[in-house]
Amino acid sequence: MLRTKGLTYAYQDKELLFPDLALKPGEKAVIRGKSGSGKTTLLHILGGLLKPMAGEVQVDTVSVSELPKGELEKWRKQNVGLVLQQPIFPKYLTFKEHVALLLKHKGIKENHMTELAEELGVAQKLNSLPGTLSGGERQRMALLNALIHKPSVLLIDEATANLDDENASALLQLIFNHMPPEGYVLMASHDARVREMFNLQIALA
Amino acid sequence: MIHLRMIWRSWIDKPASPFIIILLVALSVSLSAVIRHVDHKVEAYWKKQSSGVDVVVGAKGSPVQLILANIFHADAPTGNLKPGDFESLRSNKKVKRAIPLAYGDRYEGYRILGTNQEWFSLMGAELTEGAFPQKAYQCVVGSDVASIKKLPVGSTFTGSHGEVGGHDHNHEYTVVGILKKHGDVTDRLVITPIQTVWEEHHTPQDQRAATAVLIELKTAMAKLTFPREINGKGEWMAAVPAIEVSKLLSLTGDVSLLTKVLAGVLSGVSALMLFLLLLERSEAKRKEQALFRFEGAPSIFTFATLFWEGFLLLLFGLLLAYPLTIWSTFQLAGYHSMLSGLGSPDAYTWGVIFVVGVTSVLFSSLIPWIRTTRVNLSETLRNELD
Repeated sequence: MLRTKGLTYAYQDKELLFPDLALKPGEKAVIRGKSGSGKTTLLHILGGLLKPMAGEVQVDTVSVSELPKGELEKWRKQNVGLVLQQPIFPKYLTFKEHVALLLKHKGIKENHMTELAEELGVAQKLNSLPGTLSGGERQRMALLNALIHKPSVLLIDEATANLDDENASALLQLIFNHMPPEGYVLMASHDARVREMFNLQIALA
Repeated sequence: MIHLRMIWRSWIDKPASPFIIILLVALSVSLSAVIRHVDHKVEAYWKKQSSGVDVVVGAKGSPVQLILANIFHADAPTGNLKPGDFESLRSNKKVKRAIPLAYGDRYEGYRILGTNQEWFSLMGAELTEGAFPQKAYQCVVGSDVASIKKLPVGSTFTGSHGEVGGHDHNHEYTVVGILKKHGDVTDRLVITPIQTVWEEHHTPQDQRAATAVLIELKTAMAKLTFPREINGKGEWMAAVPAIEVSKLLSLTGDVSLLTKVLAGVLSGVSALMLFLLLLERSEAKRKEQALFRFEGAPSIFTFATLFWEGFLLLLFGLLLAYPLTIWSTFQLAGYHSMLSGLGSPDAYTWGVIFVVGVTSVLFSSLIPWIRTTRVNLSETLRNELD
């Protein structure tokens, strides 16, 4: 289970209070809300990128919000994947080099990069530098990076906002197909078109 | 290897900054190496030339002039000693060796030095061919004189009186030997028995005197007391080469300091440019570095990226500085005889430069690295403030 209880986070001028969450393994949730409602902040708290001011985050047997810094970083690199609307890549590394480096940093020896790249339709682009790819190809490369280590928590931040209906659905389907069956998918999105593809909808005030 | 690939690609993509820094590093390193090397060479030259001579005794005047005229042959003499003075000095109990010098003529600008056989051993001068002169009007010539004036063994020439422009003498000198290249003033002298100088100037037997005497003393105590003894008499002047050379070096020290400051400023600018480049890199790659950290890269990974770039800039700078330094020293060696055979700075000098360079790179990498470790992952890895 992925559970949260009494999560809050404060910026300088406002305090965010988040609803409690409870996702069963394999469930997918979309987080809705207007700009400034704290969608990305909640994703980052769930992924261990931000410490909440108060409250708890529990992922399976791990109390994420209680982990000391070193342990939190270790848990995060093993368990969390992140997909952004505008993916970030190292400018001067080919995708193949970047994925190899990523796996090395995560201490993963098994490398199914080529197979996953083929399934995502970007195998031909593995030796390219990021600057040479189209927007769609970059998005699928970002998925490759996020899924290569089989994360138990996948965070998607507005990844479909710039895509047409067909590509938005296709992208999410690719994600769902390649997530481990017991994994949790959480997506922050304004996008009403894809809500039906998620089990849970979480609305932020 | 991954660092090197990233750095190389970024240099190919945007070559201006790395190129300028490599050029600055090369110039500052080369200038520092040449200055340090020339300083050592000049000091060694002055010390080598006067080694073995504990005291120079001559007519009263300036001690520096006495040393310049009789050891470095770069000035006019202070005057002549009186007949019998040389014998008196030689018989002093503290004196191990006394070598008389007399001169006053030149051959096409090169000084004709009258002395005895012992001068050659004192100066460590060896023949490359021929023999040492045995009688008046025989001479040996330094290697530069022989090659520039094309004077082989057996050739003859006439001297001219005084400095350049004096009247010609009639009697011919015969070259009987040529000295090996010595890398000092010996290469530019014509050396003949002291009798030649007296005969050339028709000096009567009872007025024959040395211009100066080079003296080697028997004991360390004598080195302390003998100059004071001589100067106390008021008849002659004794100058200690080591002291006068130190004075000369301190006089040239201001120029040397200025060039050192210039090299220091240039090195400082290079280090600053390097630091600014690494800082700019860390700023430009904030998102990349945050991504690496999110993906689990250890903190040392970012440091290594910055350090390797600085190290490579230093390395390429040094690779460019090396031939530049060799070329500069080669040019300088031809500029002044004092610097002849200047060669390249030794491995120690390059080692010092390398260690200082690597230390600068380490420090230049530290602050940009600390900034990247403080980047807030959540703020950096988001599309917009949500």
